Amino acid sequence: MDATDPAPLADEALKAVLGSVPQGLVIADDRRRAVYANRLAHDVLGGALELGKTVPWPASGPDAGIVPSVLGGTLRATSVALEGVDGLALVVLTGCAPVRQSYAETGPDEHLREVETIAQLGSWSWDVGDDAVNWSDGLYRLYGLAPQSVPITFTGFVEITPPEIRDQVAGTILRCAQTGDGYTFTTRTVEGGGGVRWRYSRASTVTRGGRVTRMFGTTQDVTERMVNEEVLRESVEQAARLARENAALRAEVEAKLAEVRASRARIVEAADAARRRLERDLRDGAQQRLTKVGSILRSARALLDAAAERELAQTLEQAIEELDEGVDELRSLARGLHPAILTDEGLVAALGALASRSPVAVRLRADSIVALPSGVESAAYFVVAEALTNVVKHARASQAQVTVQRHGAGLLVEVSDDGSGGATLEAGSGLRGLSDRVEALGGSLQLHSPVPGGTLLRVELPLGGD
Amino acid sequence: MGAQASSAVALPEGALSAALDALPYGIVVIDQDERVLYANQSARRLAADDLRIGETAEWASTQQPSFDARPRPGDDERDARGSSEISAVTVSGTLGGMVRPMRVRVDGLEDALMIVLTPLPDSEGRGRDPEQLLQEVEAVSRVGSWSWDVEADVVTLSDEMFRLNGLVPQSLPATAETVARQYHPEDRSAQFRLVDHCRRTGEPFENTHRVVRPDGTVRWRQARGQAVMEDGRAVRIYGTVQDITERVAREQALRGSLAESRRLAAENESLRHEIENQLSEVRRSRSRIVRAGYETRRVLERDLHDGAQQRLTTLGLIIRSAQARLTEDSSPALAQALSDALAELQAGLSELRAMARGLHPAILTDEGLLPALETLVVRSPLPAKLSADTLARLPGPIETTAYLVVSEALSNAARHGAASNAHVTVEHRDGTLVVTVSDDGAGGARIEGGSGLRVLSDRVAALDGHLQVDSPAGGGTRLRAELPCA
Amino acid sequence: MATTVLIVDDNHSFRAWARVLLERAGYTVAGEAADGASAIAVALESSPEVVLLDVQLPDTDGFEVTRRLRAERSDVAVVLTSTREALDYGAKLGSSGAVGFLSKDELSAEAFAEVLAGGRGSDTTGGAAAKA
Repeated sequence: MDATDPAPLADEALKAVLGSVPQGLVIADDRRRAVYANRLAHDVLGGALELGKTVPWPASGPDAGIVPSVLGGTLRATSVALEGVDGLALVVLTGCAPVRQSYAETGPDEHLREVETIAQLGSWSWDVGDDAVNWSDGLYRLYGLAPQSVPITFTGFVEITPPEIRDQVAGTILRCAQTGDGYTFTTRTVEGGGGVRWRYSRASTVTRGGRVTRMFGTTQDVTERMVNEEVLRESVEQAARLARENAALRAEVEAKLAEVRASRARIVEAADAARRRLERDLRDGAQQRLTKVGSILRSARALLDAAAERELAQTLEQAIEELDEGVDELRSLARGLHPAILTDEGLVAALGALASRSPVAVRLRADSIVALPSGVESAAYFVVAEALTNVVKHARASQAQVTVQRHGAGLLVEVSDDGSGGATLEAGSGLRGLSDRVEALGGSLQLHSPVPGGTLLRVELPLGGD
Repeated sequence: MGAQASSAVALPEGALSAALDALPYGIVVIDQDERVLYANQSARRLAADDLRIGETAEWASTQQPSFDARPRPGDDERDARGSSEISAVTVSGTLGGMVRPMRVRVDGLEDALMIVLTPLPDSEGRGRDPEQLLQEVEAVSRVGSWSWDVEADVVTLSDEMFRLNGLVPQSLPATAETVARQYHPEDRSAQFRLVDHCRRTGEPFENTHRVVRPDGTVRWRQARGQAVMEDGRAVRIYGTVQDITERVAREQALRGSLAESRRLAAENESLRHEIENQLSEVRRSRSRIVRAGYETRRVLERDLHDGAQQRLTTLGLIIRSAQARLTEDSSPALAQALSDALAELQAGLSELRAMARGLHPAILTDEGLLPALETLVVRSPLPAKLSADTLARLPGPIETTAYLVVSEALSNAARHGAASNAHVTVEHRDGTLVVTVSDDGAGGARIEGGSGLRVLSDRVAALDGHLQVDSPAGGGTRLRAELPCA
Repeated sequence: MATTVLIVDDNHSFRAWARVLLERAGYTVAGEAADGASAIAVALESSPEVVLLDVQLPDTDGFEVTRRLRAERSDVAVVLTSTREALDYGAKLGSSGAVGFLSKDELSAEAFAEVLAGGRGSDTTGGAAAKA
């Protein structure tokens, strides 16, 4: 790269760069006025530095170039000429607290030993020229050897490197020696006896004229922090596994729930269908036949001369009576299964019939509702029937109210009375069974029956796509 | 932090560039892709071949491949001899041992980064100079050292300390204030207390804390320190500092992951319990529905029998009595009427009887499962055989369900056919009732098929049992119901 | 002399009309009973030749009553009846000791006579052999 190549950054960018250089920098003119200061310069000099004014350090004398820092201590201002620019100089600020005073007490050898001990570090250098390898005490200790106990050569070092990684380590060092490229790597060793040791190695080179003249590097024992991370990772994995397991378990249970719900719904639907079928079979079958028997018997009676065949006439009368009772029984049975009026005229008409039959006054308020799914229609009807039965049997009420209306995406049925309250969904009660049935259809049943009085039964049934 | 760089006077052209070139260390600016945008004179001299405007500077990358810290399986096995692994090796280019690069953010340039190349003292000919070694060791290992002469209240900060704090070495005076302002405000007082504690007690310390560099970046540090005591008082405290930002970031990510997983696990756990409760509830509800259904049918059959069937049976007797009263003088029309009525009645009664049996065979309630199954077998249009040992009475719903299984199976076999016979077995063993029905028909029956097997299987499941269908096409059908009944 | 019949059934309408039918056909109804215990008591006391016996009784079933009756009086002929069909009782009819079975809606004077004679209805019970 040609040293005279122009730097391609624009002035604005250069200004930003200069502003952020991590050292206090000032540009002064030849009248010692500050014309520019970067951020750090402002930081360390504070109010002492004002642009356009004289710089705060003396030009001459014993304290020439020394200026106090707002951070305590002093700074030295050193001027450097700006090439190609007349009348301006760059001033570089450096800290000049009594640096290195302590070094006088702690020589660099000792200092190095201190650093290596505290930081669990070891260092080495290799002078390519004399092929001299030097290991610090710290490095010996790092590899479990007494300091300076064994003369170290490259070959010797390779030999004490664990066999699994020997090739890579040796190869890396050699490549570094040849190319001058520095390296870093981490090793993990399980020692005989089970302990784990992590070491972090870095190395760098000094090259002259394209050839490596020196290599030096450090190795640090980073076991503690890596083992902590290992433990943490293990926990993370376990937790993730647990989370996955729990999610799977939950999904399993959810699936099972859906399955059982569907199963319950099928059962209810089948029971419903069976009831309707039975009612229809009764109606179209036995009931029809009995109607025929009735008309035959009646016309037979008409054929008789009652006076002449008194006993026969009487017998026929008794027969007709018996038949009528039987027909009534069947009709009532059928109504209990699935009232014809429900099939023929729909829910509102069927509820009207219930209301008019009720010994307790019932007020019915219903939207005109058409085309309900049959399961919903039956459930609604029987809920009202059961509720009204309870009103008559238990509530000591003077009146009841039944409302049926569309409610959102469903049907809302409410039965309320002004009776004595205290109704519950106890086991075995008709309401318990209806509640199950309502739930099986995806609906809900709520009973509010405080003892002072008044009962409200509220049923919601979904009308979504069947 | 502090004032912005500013100038009162417009600088002449080239002054900025000249100022940067006058610095005794390299300034390189790279973009987000680590391509070199600018290099000052010192940088070009220091980096030479490794620096080309517009090309990527590999030495600028600080990315280290992470070496997975996690226990390996088989760690214990290697007890006897030990073993080793090595991470991928990062090669850092030939910028090498003479230069220690520092990354600094540039205020006002969002997409670029400044790299300051601080040279190490020239090692030419100095070989194993201890000063040289110290500088090299700290620069390579990125460990900085500091020292506090307590008596003289003199602080010493090594060059690497400055670099770690994002400053050109020795660019600030080494004072307590310099040290203090680097700490993150939230960690500052804790650090002071720590060092002070060490001073008073001589106890070595090691902790992690944050610093805020002049360019605003926040880094995590690990600091270690020791005291030199004389007469129970600390005369000197010294230590090292290392940047552990990446490690902390990894740790925080892991902890976040851990917390998230735990939260998820707990959430799923509690949700699962909730759902399990719902499941129990729905199971109970389903069981109630099935049992109530059976009871309803039983009662219906009873009502049918005791009500309409009784009456109509009696009606039959009445009509026969009427018939007995007929004489030769009675009108033939009357006789015919009575006879017609009787026929119609008997047809009706027969239908009612079948209906009642379909609702709930009274014999099941009165006599039990086996007698009821015998009647099924006798009535079956398909020849069928029943093999069963004697059976004690079982709970009603169990017997009813078992009966329904056989009833459905036999009627399916007869209906869909091509079967020539069927075999029913009943066993009560180890608290389970096992009922099987096999036929040699066309097979192909499936629970999902809508042949009534599905609701049957639902009912069996509602009583905690299981219905199995084995019915390969052309291979007959075997139905097996297991119903627990302790 | 007309054959004496004891009618045993818990439904009084049935008893009344069965009586009408049988008496019209010339049988003598020696008595009625509504359950097993009184059936045996009346039978022992009045020694009917035939017992028309409902299988479904409130306190016991017709098979038990048949067994006990025939243990006391092996010459008594029992005709079992029920709203159910013979198929519903299967082999129990044959080993019951009864002479025959008629379901209630088949009951007529003619059918009754046939059963006693060892014809219809007796095939389910082994008829004449049982009578012996």
